[in-house]
Amino acid sequence: MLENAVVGNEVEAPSETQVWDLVGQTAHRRAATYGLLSRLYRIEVDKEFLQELKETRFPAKAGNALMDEGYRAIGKFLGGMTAGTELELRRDYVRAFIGEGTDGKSAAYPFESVYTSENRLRMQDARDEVLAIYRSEGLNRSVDWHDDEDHVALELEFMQFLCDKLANAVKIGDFDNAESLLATQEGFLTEHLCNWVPLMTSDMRLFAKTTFYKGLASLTEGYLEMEQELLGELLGTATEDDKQTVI
Amino acid sequence: MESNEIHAGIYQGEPADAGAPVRPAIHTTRHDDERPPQIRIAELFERMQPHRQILQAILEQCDKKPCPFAAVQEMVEGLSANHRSVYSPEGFCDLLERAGALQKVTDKGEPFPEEDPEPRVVVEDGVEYLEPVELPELHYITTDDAKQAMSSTDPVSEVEKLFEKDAHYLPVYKLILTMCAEDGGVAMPALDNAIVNDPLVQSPRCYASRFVTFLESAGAVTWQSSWHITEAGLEGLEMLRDVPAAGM
Repeated sequence: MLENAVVGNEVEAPSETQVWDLVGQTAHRRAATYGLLSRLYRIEVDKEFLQELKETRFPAKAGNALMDEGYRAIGKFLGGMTAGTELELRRDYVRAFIGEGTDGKSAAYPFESVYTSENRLRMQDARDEVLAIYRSEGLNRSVDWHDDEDHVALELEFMQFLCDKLANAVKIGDFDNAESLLATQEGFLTEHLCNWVPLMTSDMRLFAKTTFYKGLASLTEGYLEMEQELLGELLGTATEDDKQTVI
Repeated sequence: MESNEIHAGIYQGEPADAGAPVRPAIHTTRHDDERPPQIRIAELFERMQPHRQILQAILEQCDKKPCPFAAVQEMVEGLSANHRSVYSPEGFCDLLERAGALQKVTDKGEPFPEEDPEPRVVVEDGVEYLEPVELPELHYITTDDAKQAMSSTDPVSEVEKLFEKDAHYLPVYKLILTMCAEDGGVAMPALDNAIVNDPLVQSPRCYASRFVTFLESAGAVTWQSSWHITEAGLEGLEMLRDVPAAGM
């Protein structure tokens, strides 16, 4: 059962139906944002996607200062696009996430294991844990995916998947399942995204040169902050200080 | 767990604390080379000898009025059809710009914006959005420094310098240039066959590729699916009119 949701600018006691309607609507938007973030981390930006981004409108006031900073930086970068932008972004993707050398400290490696294992190794406990979680939801690695399962792109895609599932559960009125999915999301967000992504985004700001990927770092960090607040509120696990989310 | 607490093994705090190196800020603006443009342009042409033809072609194309980058790109891709190179049209223009030979401008010849433009705010259904702004189309124009450098450069002088430096092999150069002047050009195996038994190339042993490389760097021959003589090469051939060709 959801508790103490804040709707609009006033604290009022919404009906359960109203709350679930809003949850369903926001689930679609949340899925879209997770999908965008996942795509930006999965591979380099290609020509077609770059043009799509150029034609996209980003929220000017997303409700989180880091997200606003990230969207503005990305929007500004896209405004300065030239014929060499695609190549510049490809190079910066390598610079930010692959790096050079073998010291293990030359990039913002996008794997949870690197940031949560003692020796910055890949394929550690974190990878096993998230793989078990994916499988518990009926998912497995795609044959086209040749990297570790705890890559940030996959973890974000998993949240996108859960949002789509949530939207569907709300649509068919299966509110018990919807609440269970919200709990799964909150658990995954806390234990497998917010525990390491802020460190990765901090490294991104060090290693990336373009404002595009620096902006992505801010956008990602800000979005996870907002997600934590939202899920905390919806599930009643938020503290009094966290209750600021406006749905 | 507090919502902002990060459980990340040994990485509690800033990456620098965890051993990630703090990279020095690398100053890579276009103005970090303070030497006069004439020196930078001369150095660029010296170091990029195999690509001199393309660099010159870009400067000629952008000489009289602002030329859209799309046109420069098409021209360079045409010239590069028979040359595999790591340099893209953007790369060539970037090198010329850093040397002070090209300037980024708008179609009206005004300086091109240096900073990325702030996105514009649009309002739809009462909600504010950020929309990337369209920059003016990028054009290039050749600078006065480049024009001066080009006017003081005689393309034939490079060929002349080569002949002075490698005077011992003038008959070989004459034979190679003569073969390159034929219709359809000439392939390397044919050049090799032509000089293989000449006494001049026995000791030290030299092959056609050595001479062709020097001729290409001097701008006397160019590769277009086979080796062809250039205008500068024809003038060079004229310089050698009194020299007997190898094999004769």
